[in-house]
Amino acid sequence: MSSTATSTHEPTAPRRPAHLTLTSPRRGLASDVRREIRVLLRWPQLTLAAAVVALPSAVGLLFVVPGYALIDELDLSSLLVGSAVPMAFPLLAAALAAPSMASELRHHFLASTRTRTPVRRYLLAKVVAGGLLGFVVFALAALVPIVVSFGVVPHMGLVQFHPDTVLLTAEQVVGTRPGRYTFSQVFAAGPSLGPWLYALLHAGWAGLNGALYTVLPMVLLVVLRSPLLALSAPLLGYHLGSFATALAGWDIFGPLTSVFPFTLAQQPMWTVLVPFTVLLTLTAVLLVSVLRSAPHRDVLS
Amino acid sequence: MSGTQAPGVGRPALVLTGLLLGTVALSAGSGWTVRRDLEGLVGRQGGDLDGWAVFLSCLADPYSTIFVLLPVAAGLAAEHVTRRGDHAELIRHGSRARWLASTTRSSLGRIGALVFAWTLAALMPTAGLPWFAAFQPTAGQMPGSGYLLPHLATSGLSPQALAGAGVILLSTALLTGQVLLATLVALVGEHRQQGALVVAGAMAGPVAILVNFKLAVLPEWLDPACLLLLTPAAHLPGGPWSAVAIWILLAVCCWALLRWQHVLLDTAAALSRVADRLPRVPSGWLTYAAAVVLGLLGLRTVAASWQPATPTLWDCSVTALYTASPEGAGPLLWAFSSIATLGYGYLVLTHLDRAFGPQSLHALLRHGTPRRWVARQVTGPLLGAAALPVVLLAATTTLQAVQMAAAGQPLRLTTADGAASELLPGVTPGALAYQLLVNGALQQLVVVLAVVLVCLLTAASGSALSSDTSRTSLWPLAVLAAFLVASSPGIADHAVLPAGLGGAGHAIGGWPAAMGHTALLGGSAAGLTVAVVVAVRSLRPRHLCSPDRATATALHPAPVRSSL
Repeated sequence: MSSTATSTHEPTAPRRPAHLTLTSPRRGLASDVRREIRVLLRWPQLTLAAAVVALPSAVGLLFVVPGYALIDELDLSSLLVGSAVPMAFPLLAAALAAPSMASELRHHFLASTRTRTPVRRYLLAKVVAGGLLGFVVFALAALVPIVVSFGVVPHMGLVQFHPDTVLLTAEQVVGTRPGRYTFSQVFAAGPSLGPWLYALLHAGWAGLNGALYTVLPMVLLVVLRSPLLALSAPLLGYHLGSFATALAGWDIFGPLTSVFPFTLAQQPMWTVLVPFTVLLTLTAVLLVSVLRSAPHRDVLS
Repeated sequence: MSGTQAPGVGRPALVLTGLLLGTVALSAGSGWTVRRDLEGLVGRQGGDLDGWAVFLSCLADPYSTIFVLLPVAAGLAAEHVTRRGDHAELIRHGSRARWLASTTRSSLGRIGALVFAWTLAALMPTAGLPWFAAFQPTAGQMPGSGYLLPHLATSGLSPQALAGAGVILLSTALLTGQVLLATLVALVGEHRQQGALVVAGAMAGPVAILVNFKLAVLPEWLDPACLLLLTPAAHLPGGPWSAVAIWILLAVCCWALLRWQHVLLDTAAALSRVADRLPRVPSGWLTYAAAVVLGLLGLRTVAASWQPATPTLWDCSVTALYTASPEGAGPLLWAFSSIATLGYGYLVLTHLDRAFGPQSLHALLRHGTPRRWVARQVTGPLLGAAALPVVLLAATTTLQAVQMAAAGQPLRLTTADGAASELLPGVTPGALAYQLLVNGALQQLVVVLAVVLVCLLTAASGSALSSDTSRTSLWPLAVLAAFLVASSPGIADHAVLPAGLGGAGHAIGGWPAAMGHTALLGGSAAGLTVAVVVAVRSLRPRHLCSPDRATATALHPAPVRSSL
């Protein structure tokens, strides 16, 4: 219907073969996003994603867990998240999609696409695809340790829990879950529903943050001229922000502890929203600025 | 309808909206924290929380003011000036002073919006609370307990007028700061490096103020709460009227600054001319040094709980450079150590990124061979890495000596039983110095050598070491991230990886432990050195100086094979 309406308003022009059409009115953002996702799903990215999702649980179960006396599955899941993913979180997110975009910028591939698609839509499609990939990868990275801890380990008997180390019985330890970590407050919903609510909540939260940390270096690549700065700025801000907030006594608002709040006593749920809001505002302002000025930016021409 | 649009039109409104929304969100978060703390405090005292207590505490919260309000005001000023500071605007106004006055007038709305957002955010946590209108101190009530504002209210002045005057005064202070920053940015705007330093300094200033508050170096009346008369009365020697005197002094300073800003402009211009003749200081290294100094000052206060009864000159080094050991280490100490050691590695990476950029062809031609040129680029950072532990140790020891001298304590080198510190029982000063200097230098060398090696390997694998290559950016960053993870307390405790072993905490085992770490670090450094030498010897000019393959082919054409 839209093509019919378009054709009635367009001046008569010689018809071209489909592969020579410069712009296709039927192709929309969703189509561009699907194409960009296919571009992103290469072996390096897939290998990295698989490592981020599977390695912490595998390495944790094999090498780390035997050295600890864990009290229950929640304790195990917080240990399986590990330290490598939380510490290198922005760099891992940047490595998912930003190198591909840096390569396109460097080789002026973006400039050649401007004859086929509007540059704003192209950039938006890349950012949406990168954000989706970041969301899925880091949601899975948070979900897998919880599923392993609550779904696989108890059935296979891989880990022996020792609730007696905190002078409690197994039933009493389960009762302490709602008050242990920030996100574990949802365990108040009950022992059967709580783990899955917790898994969904933490996976969704890690995915949202992963999406933002994936998108931010992509936007910075356009704003800053140096790929080194663009790729490292989120990592520097992440750790320097954590250090500065801890130094000021505001460690509950640290960027690291807001995504992986396992090193602090339980805080109100809203506290994790503060650094997230800062990051979201920064990314949104930069993205809108880049999209508005995209047709005139030298780096995109 | 004009077809042209002034550059930047539309963006400022967007930036302003985003910043104001962020301000409201951050201040509201701070306000809810204040409310929670007050609820706990009042609950323990058995009283009732009232709205005024929360509102005034939110307005006076130094964290909210320092971390939220001042950076937002500085960011607005920088954004506003860079938008309007083009030559056409200056020519239209005739002089920089007139242009600045016009900028200042048009900033009033922004400052008003900022203060409105801040007040709104302070009001949000008061929802559902009763208001304490009389400002009278009452037993069990928070607001009148010690603030200057109720003291002035009891002397016959209207509390509402005083609170309003406080907000206006703070707005004036923000405006004055904005004028100052605008002046500096306008003057150094032509030099991007200096302009970036000024803006970075303005952003880092609030953190420095906070650290200084913790150290109690600056007087109490610099606290923003004092401007709002919400400082506890006992903290000011002159009582509430000394705060009023500060009001008057500040108002006079603001008026004088606005009235004679051309004097400031001339002075800054003269200083700028002098600064142009001085050698340029790399902003990254300066920022790194400032971060390390601020970190040392802050950690000195945070680690005060570690302070022994009879401190020695080693104690500051031990607390600041503790990093990790089975005996325990706070994440803050580990974070500082990571910034100090890995931050140096990151700066080396940026140096190599610039050195091996597209302009490297000319330098390479001048030096003759890639080996000599690369060796020259790498030697400096390696020497700096070896010297960094000495600088850190000297800085921390000086800081400890200054504090002990200020407190009138005798400068001790060892404790009564001969140990370097009460925190490290049995560790002699010699073993601690060896651990910090030798193992610290080796650790730093390992980090830098790993960064250099990865840069060279990336070059040898076929991609040019130019600044716009993502691979050369990502892999060295991954190496630094790996060191960051490996030096975390949970992993570095085992001392099986050459990461995080240069800290004072690893000296707890005495000389045997220190020598073991030396063996591990020395072996790693030797292996990395051999690898770097091999990588340098295998380098070819096309690896270093070609920004793209076409240039490489033009410089070194491949031999043409005949199909015959």
